[in-house]
Amino acid sequence: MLGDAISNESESTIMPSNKIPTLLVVVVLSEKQQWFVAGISLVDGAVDCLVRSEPANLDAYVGGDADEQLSFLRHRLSGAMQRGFDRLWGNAAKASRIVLIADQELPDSTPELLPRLAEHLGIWMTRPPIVFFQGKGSERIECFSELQLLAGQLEATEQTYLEKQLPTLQQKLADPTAWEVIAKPRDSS
Amino acid sequence: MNASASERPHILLVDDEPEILHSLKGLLRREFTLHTAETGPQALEILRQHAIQVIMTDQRMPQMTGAQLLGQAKAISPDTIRILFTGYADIKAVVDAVNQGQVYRYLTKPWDPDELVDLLSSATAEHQQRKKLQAILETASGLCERISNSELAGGFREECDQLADQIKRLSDG
Repeated sequence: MLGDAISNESESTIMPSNKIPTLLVVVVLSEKQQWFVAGISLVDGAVDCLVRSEPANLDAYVGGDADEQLSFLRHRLSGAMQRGFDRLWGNAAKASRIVLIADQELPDSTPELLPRLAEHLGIWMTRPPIVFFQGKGSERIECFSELQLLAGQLEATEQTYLEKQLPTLQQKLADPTAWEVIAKPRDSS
Repeated sequence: MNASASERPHILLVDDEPEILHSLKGLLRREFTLHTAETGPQALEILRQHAIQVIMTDQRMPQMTGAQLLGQAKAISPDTIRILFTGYADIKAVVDAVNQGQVYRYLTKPWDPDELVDLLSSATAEHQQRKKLQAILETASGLCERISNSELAGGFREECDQLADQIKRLSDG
């Protein structure tokens, strides 16, 4: 048993749960270099604002080479997702899919950064699987048809709930009091 | 599980982000006795002072990486089950850690909280099994030695010595 290197397993191995199936939605506001994590219930569509960072939480990638930027972002965003998982657990809910939406390209990066990040997360985050979208404008994520799919695939029901609740989520982004704030790690960096 | 406080397995959690430790404490405190550290050196100090069944550490930390920490943890407390987690796929660190026998499991963030509890329960059960096996090996080793040194060994003294030697090697890991 020693030395078993396990990571995420296939979608088909997810165990049944009596918790509320939920989309865990991570929104990245590129200009502000800030993230938000919310849940959208797949039972009734309720939007649950979970946690957010302060602006500039993601700024440590600036100035790094492409690999360093990718490494930092996947690490930091994985931490954001982990917090979302933990908060959902406290609310008797469980993420059945992660949806990551970056509103636009990140400043001071190449156009390849977000697609590379999406590709990496799409390969590694399969339990639950991730869907990665990129928007077309600063802090605009409300219109599903404007989102460009970079990785993964939503099921029809999931898309219905997401499409319906994006405008609500958009409104919540403008209300800083709706979210629990996560402090920036001390090293960061 | 919900064991009484004195029976709960001791788990050491290591992450440089206090808020992650806080979340883990909220998740695990009912079933385990928790120790936390924000740096590798702090974790090593706790390992020296307490009988820790499982250590679970982040890979990406300042001062000392998780793989480095587990390498030193193995020397201080060889029986402690070692789990490495990270938010990014640093393949080299994982391969190094696995090849050096430092890790029982490698986890990537985000993990499912329910599955983490199951994993830690399995790890503590594994630790208990290893301790039992260790005790059996020590008993068998002592018995072999006594037989070998007595008239009971008869013509099997050489075999007894070989068996004692094999058991000792197994016991030393």
